Amino acid sequence: MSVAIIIVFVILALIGMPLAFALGSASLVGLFIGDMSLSVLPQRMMHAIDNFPLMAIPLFMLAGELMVAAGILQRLVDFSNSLIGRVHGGLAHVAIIAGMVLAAVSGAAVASASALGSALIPSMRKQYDSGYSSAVIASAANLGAIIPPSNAMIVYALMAGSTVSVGGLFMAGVIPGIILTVGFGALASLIAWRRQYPLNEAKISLKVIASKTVQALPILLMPIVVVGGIVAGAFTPTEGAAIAVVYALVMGFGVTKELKLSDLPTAMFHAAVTAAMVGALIAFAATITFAFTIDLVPMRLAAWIQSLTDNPHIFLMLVMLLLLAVGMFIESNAAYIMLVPLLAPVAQHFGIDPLLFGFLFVFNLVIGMMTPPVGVLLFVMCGVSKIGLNQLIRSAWPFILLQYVVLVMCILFPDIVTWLPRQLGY
Amino acid sequence: MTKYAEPTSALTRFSQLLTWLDKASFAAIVAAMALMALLVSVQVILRYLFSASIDSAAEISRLLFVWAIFLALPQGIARGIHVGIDALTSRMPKSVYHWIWRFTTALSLVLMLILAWLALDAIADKWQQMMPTINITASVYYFPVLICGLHGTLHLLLLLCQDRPPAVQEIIE
Amino acid sequence: QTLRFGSNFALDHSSTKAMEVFKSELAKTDVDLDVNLFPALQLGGAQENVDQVRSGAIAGTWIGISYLSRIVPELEAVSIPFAFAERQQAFDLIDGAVGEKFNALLAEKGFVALGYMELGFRNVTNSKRPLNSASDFEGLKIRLQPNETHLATFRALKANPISMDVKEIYSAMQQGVIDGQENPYSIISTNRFNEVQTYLSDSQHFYDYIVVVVNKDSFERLSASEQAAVKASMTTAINWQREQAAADDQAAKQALIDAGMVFTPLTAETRAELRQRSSGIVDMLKQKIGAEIVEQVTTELAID
Ligand code: NA
Ligand code: NA
Repeated sequence: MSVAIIIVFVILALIGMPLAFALGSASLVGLFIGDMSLSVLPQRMMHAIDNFPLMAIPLFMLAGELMVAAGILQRLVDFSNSLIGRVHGGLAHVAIIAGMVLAAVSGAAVASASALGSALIPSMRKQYDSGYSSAVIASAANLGAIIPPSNAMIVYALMAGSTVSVGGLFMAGVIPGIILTVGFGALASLIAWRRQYPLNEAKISLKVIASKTVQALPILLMPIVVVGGIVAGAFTPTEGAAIAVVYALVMGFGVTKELKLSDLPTAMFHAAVTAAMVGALIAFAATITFAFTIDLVPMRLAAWIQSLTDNPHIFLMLVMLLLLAVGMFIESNAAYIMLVPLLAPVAQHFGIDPLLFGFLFVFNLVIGMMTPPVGVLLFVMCGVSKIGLNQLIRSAWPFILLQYVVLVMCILFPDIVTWLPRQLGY
Repeated sequence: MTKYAEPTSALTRFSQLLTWLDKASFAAIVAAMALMALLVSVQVILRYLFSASIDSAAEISRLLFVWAIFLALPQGIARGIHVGIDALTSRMPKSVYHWIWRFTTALSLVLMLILAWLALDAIADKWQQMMPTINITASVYYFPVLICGLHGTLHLLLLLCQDRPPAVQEIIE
Repeated sequence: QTLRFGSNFALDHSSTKAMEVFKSELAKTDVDLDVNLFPALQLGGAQENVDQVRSGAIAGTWIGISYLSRIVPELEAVSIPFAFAERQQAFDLIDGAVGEKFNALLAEKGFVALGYMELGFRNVTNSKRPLNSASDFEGLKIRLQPNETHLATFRALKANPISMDVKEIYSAMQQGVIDGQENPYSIISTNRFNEVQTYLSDSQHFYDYIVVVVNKDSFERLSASEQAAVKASMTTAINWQREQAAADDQAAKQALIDAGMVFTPLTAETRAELRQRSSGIVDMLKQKIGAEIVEQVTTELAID
C-alpha cells in the first residue's frame, strides 16, 4: 500500500498536480490497493482539521489581514524609519526592523512578505534596484516564521505530538531570530555601502523618534501581550491568536481609526481561504500518514536509519541535508506533514533535544521557502515587484547563505536555541 | 498556444450559478470565522473576568473551524492558489502541458466527487450519534466535507469547460 | 490475517501493556492471527478510533467507555456518582447481567465487546482546602470532562464545574484560573498535577471502565476456533490488567503523597452525604437513558 502511494504521489506531483490533490489521489489508490475501507479518507480529513491547536493558523492570519487594513503596518514603517532611516541602506533597515516587529505579531512569512512588499517596495525601488529590494523584503518576511508566533512551529508541534510544546518552540526561535535580524542588517549595510546607495535626507531627530514611538507603541505592546501570554501559560496559542484578532480590531477601530466595518468580511474570507490551503494539505496527508502507520513505515524507517548510524550528530546532519533538498523542491507545510511524524520519534530515540530538533527542522524548511526552484516567498516577491525569478535570485543568494550560516551556528552551539526555553522552564 | 473554448450560453449560465454559490459560501465562511473568533476570545474573557466557561465552547468553535476550512477549500480551487511543483511542467511544450493539465484537473474532479460520495456515507453513518456536549447529530461535522466535495467538483468542471490552464507562475503561491 | 487495534492510551499505560499480553497469548495459540497495536494516538484520537472500528478500517480499539456513550447512551448507567465503594463491585457489575446488556446493545451498533478493563476511580484534587465534608466541595472551580452527567453531578454538589482541554489543565491550575481537577491517581501523577495542587482526596465519585471493542462483521468472519482463541487471550489480558491497574493506582497515590500532596480520605458519613446531595442524578439518568437499565444498576449495587 505504501509503495503504491509513494509512486502515485511522486508521478502526480511531478506533472504539476496541486500537491493536496496529488496526496488525496495517492491515498485513495493506496486504500484501494491495501483493501482498506475508503471511509478512512473523509474520517481522517475531518478529524485532522477538527483540532483546537490548528485553529490558531486562520486566527493569526486574520490578525495579520486586519493589521494591514487598519494601517498598523504604516505606523510600523514610520517608526522604523525614524530610528534607522539615516543609516547606510536606510530603507533596507526599515524593512528589516519593520519585518522583525511584524514577525512578532504575525505567524506567517508569506503574509508578512506581501504586506511588507506592498508597503515598502514602491519607495525602495526609487533608491535601489528591484532585485535587492525584493530580496531584503523576502528575508525580513522569513523572520515571521522564526520569531514567535509562528504557524510553521504550530504545525510542527502538532505533527510531533506531545514531545514538544508550541510555547517552547516559540521561545527557541527568539534568539536565532534576533541574530538573523542583526545579520540581515549588517548584510544590507555592506551591500548598500559597496554599491554606494545614497543616504536618506532626513536627519535623525529625537523628537521625531519620540512621536513615532508613541504612535507605534500600541503595536509594539502587542507581541508582549500575545506571545507573552502564550509563553506564560495564561492562554493557549489558539486563544492568543483570537486575542491578537481582538487587539487588531481595537487598534483599527479605536486607535488608527482606519479600519472600516466593510473590511472585516474580506479579511475573514482571505484568512479562511489561505488557511484552507494549509488545511487541504494537512487533511489529505493525514490519510497517507494513516496508511504508512498501518504498514509500519515509521517503525521500519526508524530501524533503517538506526542501522545506518548510531551517532546522533551524523543523524542530525543527514536530516539537515535531507531537509535542505526537500526545502528546495517541496512546499514547507507539505514537508512538515509528511516528515515530522517519521523523523521526530527517531530523533528522540537518538537522544536529541526535541526542542532543538524541532527548531532546526522548522528553520531549515523556512529557509527553503526562499530557495529556488520551489520557494513560496520568491514567487510572492516576483508577484509584488513584477520581476523575474532570476533577477531576484541574483540578489537573494547572500541572504539565503547567511541564513544557512546561522543554521549551522545553531547546530554547533545549541544553547542559542535551547537556552531561553530552558530558562523559562520548557 | 491552444485555442480557448468559446463561451456558450450554457457555460455562461453554469458560471453564473457558480458565482451565486460562491457568494453564499462566502457569507457562510465569514459567519463561521467571525463566530469562531468570537467564541474563542469570549471563552478567555469569561475565564479571567468571571471564572466561568461555556461547556460546549471548544466543541462549537472546532465545528465552526471545520466548516470554515472545508467551505473555503473550493474557493481556493477557484482562485488557482493551490501549491504545486512546476519544475517539469515549465519546461514542457505548451500543448503537452495543456493535456497534462486537463488530466490532473479531471483527476482532481474525480477525487472531489468520490470525497462527496464518501462524506454522504459518513453522514448517514453518524446520523444517530450525538455530539458530546450538545444534543445535535454528530454528522454536522461531515456536512461541510460533502459541500466541499460538491462545490469543488463544480469549480473543477467549470475550469475544464473553460479549458484554460493557468500560466505556470500562477500555479504556485 | 492481521488484527489491528488503535488507541489513545500511552505506551506505558497498563491497558496498552495488557494488549501486548493479548498479542503474545494469541501467538501461543494454534490459530493464524497476527496482532498489530497502534497505541498513543498513532491512528488518531479516541473518537476517530471508534469511527475506524465502526467502518471496519481497523479491527478494534481499547478506549474509555464514555467515548461510546453517544452511540449507546445506556452505557452512562454506570456513571451514577458515588456508586462504587471498591473496585471489585465495579468488576462484578460489568461481568454480570449489566455487562451482558451492554454487550447486546453494542452488538446492535456493530461492535463486539471483548471485555472491560479498569480505567479507575476518579478523585478530586484542589489547591484551596482539604475535602473533609460535603460542604468543602461548594464553590470549588473544578475542571471536568465535557460530559453532562459529570457536570450535573458537580453542580449538584454546588461546585463550579469548568470544561477545558486536557492540555490546558496544568497551566490553568498554575494560574489559579481553576482550583482543581478530577482524574484517576495514575493520570494525576503522569501529568504532574501535584506540582500545582496541594490537596488530594479519595472522592471516588466515578468509576471508569476501558472497553475493548472489535468490528462485529470482521469478528464474525473469523472461524469459530479463531473467535474462541481471541476471546480466551483477551480474558487472560483483562485479568492481568485489572491486577496491574490496581497496583499502579496504589503506587501513583503513594507517589503523590510522597511528592508532598496532603491526602485526606473521606469518611463513610461524608460519602453518604455526597451521595445524598447528588441523588438527583439518578432521576436525570432515568429520564435520559431509560429507567430500566438505571434501576438494574441501582438494584445490583443496592443503592437506594
Ligand atoms: Na512570527
Ligand atoms: Na525552496
